Parts: sequence; C-alpha cells; structure tokens
Amino acid sequence: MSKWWLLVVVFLAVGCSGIRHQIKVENQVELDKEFIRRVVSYWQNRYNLEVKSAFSQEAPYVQEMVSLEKYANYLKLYVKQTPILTKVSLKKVTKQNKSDVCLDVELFLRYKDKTVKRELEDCWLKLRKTWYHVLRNPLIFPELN
Amino acid sequence: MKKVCLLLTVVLLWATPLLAFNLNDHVTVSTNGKGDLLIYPMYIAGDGIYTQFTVINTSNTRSAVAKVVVRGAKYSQELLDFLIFLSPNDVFKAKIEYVNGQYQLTTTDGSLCLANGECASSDNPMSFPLAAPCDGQEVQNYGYIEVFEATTFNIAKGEDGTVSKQTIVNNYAEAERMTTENILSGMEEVFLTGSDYTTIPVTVLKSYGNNQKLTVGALTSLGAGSNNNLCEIESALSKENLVIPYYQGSVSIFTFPTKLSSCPDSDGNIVAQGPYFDPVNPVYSLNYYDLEEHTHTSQCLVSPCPENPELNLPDEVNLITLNSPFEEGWARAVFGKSVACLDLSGSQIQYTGSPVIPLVVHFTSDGLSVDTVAYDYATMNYNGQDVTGIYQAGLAASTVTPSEECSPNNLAACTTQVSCNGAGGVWYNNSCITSDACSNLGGSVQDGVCVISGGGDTGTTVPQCDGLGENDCKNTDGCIWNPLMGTCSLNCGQYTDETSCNSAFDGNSCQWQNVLGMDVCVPK
Repeated sequence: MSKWWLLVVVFLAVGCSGIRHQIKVENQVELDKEFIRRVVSYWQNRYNLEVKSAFSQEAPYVQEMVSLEKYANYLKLYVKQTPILTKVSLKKVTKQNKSDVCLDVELFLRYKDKTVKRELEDCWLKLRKTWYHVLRNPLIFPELN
Repeated sequence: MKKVCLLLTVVLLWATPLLAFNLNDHVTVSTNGKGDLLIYPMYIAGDGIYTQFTVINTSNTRSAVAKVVVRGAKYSQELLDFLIFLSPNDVFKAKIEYVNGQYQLTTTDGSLCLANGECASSDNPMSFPLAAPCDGQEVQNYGYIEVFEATTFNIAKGEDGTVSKQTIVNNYAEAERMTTENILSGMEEVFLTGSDYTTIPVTVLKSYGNNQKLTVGALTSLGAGSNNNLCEIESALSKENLVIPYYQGSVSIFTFPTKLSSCPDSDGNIVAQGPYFDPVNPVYSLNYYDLEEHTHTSQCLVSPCPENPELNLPDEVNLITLNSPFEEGWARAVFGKSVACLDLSGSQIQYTGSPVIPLVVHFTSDGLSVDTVAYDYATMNYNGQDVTGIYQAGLAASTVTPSEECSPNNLAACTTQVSCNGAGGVWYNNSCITSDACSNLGGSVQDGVCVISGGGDTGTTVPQCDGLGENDCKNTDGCIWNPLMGTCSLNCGQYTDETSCNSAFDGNSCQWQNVLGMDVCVPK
C-alpha cells in the first residue's frame, strides 16, 4: 500500500505543482494523501522561491503577522547557494489530532558538490478543511512564538 | 585574649562603615576574551538550523576541566550537562541540532569523556538528547549555554608534546582543591543548513572562582559553590542603557543568566534566584531614533506591562522584534530598576540597571548577522561609595577611598577638632559629626565638642539612628544607611540580645550567631 501511495504522490507532485525538478518522496507515515500532497507542494514552493504560493500555505495568523517582504527574505536565506530539492522524506508523526499534525521531515538538497539533508519537525494545522503550515523560527520570527 | 581580640575585630568590622575596599577580588566581564566562566547567550536548533560552539583552553601549560550546562530559554531548565577535559591549547567543539526526531548535542571531540573513560572521537561520535521539557512548558529548540571552569592543572606533557585525556581525567578524580585560572575562551556559530551562517558573541567572565568539585548530574548554577554570589555576578553584568542599532524587523535578544527560575511548581509559581528579579520581572522603555534624530518612545512604567511583546521580558532568553515606526536607526533600551544586595563579604552593593546580556539580530535581504550592542554601565554603589564602571570593568585601582577633603559635606574626612569645627561639625569620640547627630545621641555642644549627658561615656551609649539623614547617619558610629530605603538604622553589631537582633532590619537583615565561642549579632 505504501508503495502505491508513493507513486501517487510523486505523480501529483510532478503533475500538479509545475515544478522544474522531479522530486522523490519517501512516505513512512499513514496520513491523508491530500495532506501529503500539500506538504510536498509547500516545500517545493519554498525551494523554488515561489514566495506568494508558499506564503499562502502558511497559517492565517502567520500571513497576518509577517510581511511578505520579510517572508521572502527568509526564504532567500535558505536558497542562498541555490540548492535543488531532490527528495522529501516523511519519517514519523510526532503529534496528531483532528486539527493539527507534526511530523519529522527530511529534505534532501543538492548543491554543486554535495547533497545535504535538512531535518526538521514540521507542523501543520487544519482550518476550514485546509491544511496550513505552522511557521516556527524564534530567531527570525519571535513574534510567532 | 586572642579570641576576644579577634572577636572584637569581627564586631568592629561589622559595626564600622567600610570606607576603603578591594575591587580586584570579584567576578568581572573579561575585556580580553579570556576567563573562567563562559556564557553563550543563545543557542538555537530546528527549522534547518543548528548551533556549533567551541571552548578553547588558551593556556600553553595548564590543562583545564570544565562543566558544560545547556539550559532552556523559558525557565533555565538544565537540559544537558557534561564535563570536558582540555589539555593545553586544546579546543572542544560540539553542536546542538534537531536530528533523528530529537534535539541533541553531538560531538566527535575527544575532550568529552564519560565516567567509564570512553571519549568521543571521529570513530566514536557521541550524541546526547536534551532532557524533556518540564511540564511541557520549557523549550528545547533555543536557550543558552554555560561553561564553568572547574579547575586547572599543571601536568607535564608527554613525549608527543601533549597531555593525555586520561591523565587529566585521573587528576580530576583525585583532586580535592580547585584551582581556577582565567584561561578559557570560546566561539559560537549558527548555521542554516547548507546555506548561511552567523556568529554569536560569547560573554566571558573572569575571576568567577569555582571552588567546588563539579560533577555530572549534580546541579551547577551561577553563584553556587564559587567565590562570587549572584549579587556579584549581576553587578558585574549590570547595564543601564543599551544602544541597539536596527533595521525594520531586527530582533533583540535579552538573556538573563542570573534569573534561574527553574520550572514552575505545582501551583504554577516561578521563583527566580537572582536579586534583580525580586520581586517582579524587569520593566524597561524603548526609545527609537531614526537616522535623523527623530524619536518615538515605547514605555512600560508599571508591571504587569500592557499586551505588547516588545516591552515584556518574561523569560530567561527573550527575543523581541523591534517594531520601530522607522525603517532604520537605533533604539535606546533603558532599565531603571534599582537593586540592593550583599556580596559574599557582607558588603552592600546597590545598582540601577539590569544584569542582561543583550544582542541584536539583523535580518535583511542580504543575509543574517548577530551583533553585540553598546551600553552604559549601571550606576553602582559599593557600601555607599560610587563605583560605577569601576566595579563592572574591574578597573586598575585596587582600593578606592572617599574624598579626603574635610568639608561641610564630608565631615567624615575631618580628622581634628579644629578642622571639624571649621567645617561646621561637632567633635565626638574622635570623629566629626553634625550638631543634629549630637542631639540624637542625647548630647549637647560645648566648645565644639559633643558632650553626652551623664558623664560623656561615648563608648557605651547605643546610638539613635532612626530619623537621621544620610550624612548624619554615615557619621554616626553604629548606624548604617540604606540607600534603597532611604533610612538610617542600627548596625547589626549594636544589638546585644537574640530577639532584637533577629527581628532587626538595618537594610542587611541581622542574625544571631556564635562567633569564636561568643554570641554576636551579624548581618545575614
């Protein structure tokens, strides 16, 4: 079953997001396919510097409290050396209830001479049937703490 | 007889206001980056960020043992602690990151050795998860780090020119007496995975003087088991005004390492350790300036502060986005709280300011940087003498004495009856006081001398201190001036029975104690 989901997600990721690079998705969690598609799409948007698309996927309170300009600068910090997102691995659900989920995510980034893995705890909340990303970075966005 | 003399010396020292004192035997912020206590004011991990820090033994001859303590940002919960063993010129390096679903410290540095003798290496990397947050309220993703130098050794180097880790470990296991030297330094860097990075300045304190054997698992905190208490550490760190340059969206970091609030108790109460935080959290004001001297003020005068995260500093590590109405400029943060506390010798320190370690984070389209900020030293008195800047910087003078000019405003400097009367004072018991002070003693002025009714036995009368002004109080033997309260009261040494001693409050609080076989009243 998980392999089938894998193929579906890859297809959705490639076909629906209009990305320039093919992303491999490793899914080890039992979650709604729409949610998984949303997570992958979000990270694609960030690393493709599709600022408005990524911003629209942030939780409404984040969109309210953070300016688009500051958000754009934040995304640029992570793509300074123009990495390419090659793989998204959803490792484990760390928290789950009806309206919010946190999961351990690994992002594989290819640079000119190396591939780097970025691990993080990625949290999402559901509002009016839509999943939104919960942005957390106390150094740059302490107001969101 | 010897005991009596020694006791009298002790009593007299407590009873007589200190006019001269030594400024060289307390902790200060190091000006050359080397010391025996390091504070890394912030670490952060998660969201693709990790923090890497180093501890450097700058000595070419001495080995050092230090204890690293990682604390959470909200309550200074101890999240991790361990010992490191540094040979001469050695460096310890580690990072705090979010890996394998947890926040952890990772190192391949051989200076980290466990009790079983196993040390980290590139072939044996070690990882230690940060402790689970207390009550789910502490945070792991950011906080601060302390490095306490436990002791140093002069160990002969081996044939390869180095000192083996096992030798240092063994020496420490057998050590009974701690010998600290100002030889540690450090560096801290924050990395955005595969992308950008910035450094975070480390605060280095010197002459902290740990005097206890530090072990893993046992709580180690500032001011405990050292030659300096929290009052002295806060005084060394104290600052009155901060100069914070900003761009729109810059973030200020205010770290209070002396707060040490620990996790809330079962009733949700938080008790801070440092005297600065007694009884309430700090309040401050922010004056924003743009590049053209225009200004705007945000102010909180009474705690609790209004719902504006800019003016609240509830945590040990506070990150505040600077919401200036201007695009660019600088902000002055003013801490106006006055604190009075006692150092380990029982001397009173009073300062106006805050024991904060401030930083500013600039985040623009060009990247990320973290910088120190300029500041004014807190205004400070040591036993009533102004030592602003001298105390904090540990400046050169080993003693400071008050002005020696005899004048109406400085009768204490009048050493003869003639000069005393010339300055308008009254001669009493080989010192110069005001006529009001003479009246309070129950005496009258006769030919420039204060004569006490009933024979003028100036050695046994208990002085009347209540109601005296500052100058009269300081000029009256047995009285002590409390600058915080603005009152004059009997010095502890004047109380001759336990009940009155223990209930006295002379600004110091007194306690009945047995000293050299005799019961006396001394400051707490």
